[in-house]
Amino acid sequence: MATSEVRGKATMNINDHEREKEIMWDLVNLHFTNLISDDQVEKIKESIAGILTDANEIRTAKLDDSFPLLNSYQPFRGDANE
Amino acid sequence: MNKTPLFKNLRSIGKEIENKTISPTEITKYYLTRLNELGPEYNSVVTVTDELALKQAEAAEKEIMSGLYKGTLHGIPFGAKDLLATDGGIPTTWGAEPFRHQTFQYNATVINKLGSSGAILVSKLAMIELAGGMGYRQPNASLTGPCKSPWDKNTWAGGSSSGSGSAVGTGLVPFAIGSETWGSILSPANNCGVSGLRPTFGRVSRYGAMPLSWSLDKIGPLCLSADDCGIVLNEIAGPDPKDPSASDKLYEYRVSSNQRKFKLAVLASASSNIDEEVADNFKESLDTLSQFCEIEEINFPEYPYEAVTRTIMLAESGTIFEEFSGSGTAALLTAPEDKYGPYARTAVLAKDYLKALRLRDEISQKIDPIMSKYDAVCGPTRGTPASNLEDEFRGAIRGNAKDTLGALGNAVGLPAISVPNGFTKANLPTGIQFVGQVYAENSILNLANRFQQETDWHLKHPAELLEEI
Repeated sequence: MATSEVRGKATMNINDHEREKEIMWDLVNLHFTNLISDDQVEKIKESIAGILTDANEIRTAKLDDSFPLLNSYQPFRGDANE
Repeated sequence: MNKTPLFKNLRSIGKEIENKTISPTEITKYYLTRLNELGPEYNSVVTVTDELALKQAEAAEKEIMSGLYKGTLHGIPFGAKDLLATDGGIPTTWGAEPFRHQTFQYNATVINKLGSSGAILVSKLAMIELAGGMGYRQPNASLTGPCKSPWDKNTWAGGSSSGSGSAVGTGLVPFAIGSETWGSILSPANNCGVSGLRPTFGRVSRYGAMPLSWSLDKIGPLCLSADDCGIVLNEIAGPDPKDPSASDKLYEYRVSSNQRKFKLAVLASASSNIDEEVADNFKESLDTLSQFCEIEEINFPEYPYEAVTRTIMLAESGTIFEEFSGSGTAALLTAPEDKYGPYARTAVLAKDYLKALRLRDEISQKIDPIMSKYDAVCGPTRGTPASNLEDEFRGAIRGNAKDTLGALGNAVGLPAISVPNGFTKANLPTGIQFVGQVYAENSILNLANRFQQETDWHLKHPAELLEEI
């Protein structure tokens, strides 16, 4: 529910890796459940743990505010001279 | 044939063809024989393109005999990593069983450019399945089996451009084309004792190459020397309307006759957590380099270089291979870890990928002023020599020693060259890499040329391969 009070900080920064790992596994399993064999489950969970370790490094890296936001999109128009 | 071209540099072979002391047909037949005889021993070849090669050789011969000599590569055979599309019914397997019979109706731009230079395609060369992007951890990750190092058939050629490194090192081709997303040219250059150039991102068109990661993939040569790499880059670089990411900047390979001192930086952590013999060879190389380089130790700003590069690679490859992943055909790949490798990466969050891209932009701009002060930053190419064929290797993707130069260089698209710099007691080659500023291929090539004038590691070849067959 929306509130005008500040109710604390986002939980994603608390690094609740185990819970996030479970959610990511559920997502992967949802997509590929028919393709994943029993002996692959733990190995995929290991891969997810690696992805989250990297993600955590990226999330905690401080961006330099003096750099512009990434924006490389250019609108396309075929008759470019118009 | 009076004179063997085996292990000669491209200028020597080119001169002999120009002088008509050897003919393109003779030299093509020579390498076709070696490819057919030795290729299977090293698992370095997917397809020998005999028919096409002899046809191209005959055409080159006619042109040269009629006085139309196109330049150094005219009439010289080469091999291409099997992720470069070739027409004419020649398979392009991407090194992967599910694509064993894949064919294209067109050539990759690199193949066409080399064709226009008069070079002769003699082979599609082995590679790690899907360019190693599925997370392989062992040499046996290709439909052609584990590719072997020229220096010891019990050791791995490196990857993912395995066949390109091995075929050059075993004298099956005078030069080869490989590709790198993260380590795939430099690693085989290291393990096979050859020179490998990873050009600046966008320097070489990727049209017709299997994409693994749009913003990381590069195409470059593996050769017997840095000078050979420059000669090949000169022919394959340049803009391409078919590849919007190919830079408009023109490239010309220029050999510097200036005997000035080079400015070289060494990453302070370059020798941390690496094999002792690799560290010793690197130290010895620095002694040699100090004769013609001013050397400074540097540190790069703190960034999660490996996490950034890996996250970009996983997110982009997850999208590229989305249909493949959903089809279940990953189960047909060779390495057990590649069979499930495509799945986890589909859960990389968009915000993490986008922040990795933003970090890369920032890194790119902060690194450039540092790189601009030097001709190159150097370090050992790999922390270890070639691993045994049966062993899981401590890969470029994740390991104990930080691969800062590899992660950073590939993330922001810096050019790099690896050249041989010694051997271990087990007679396995080691390499040194020179990483340059964006678009400064000539700086690192001239530095590597000079290093190879002062050393002879690149002139050493396995004794059993010097015997003619």
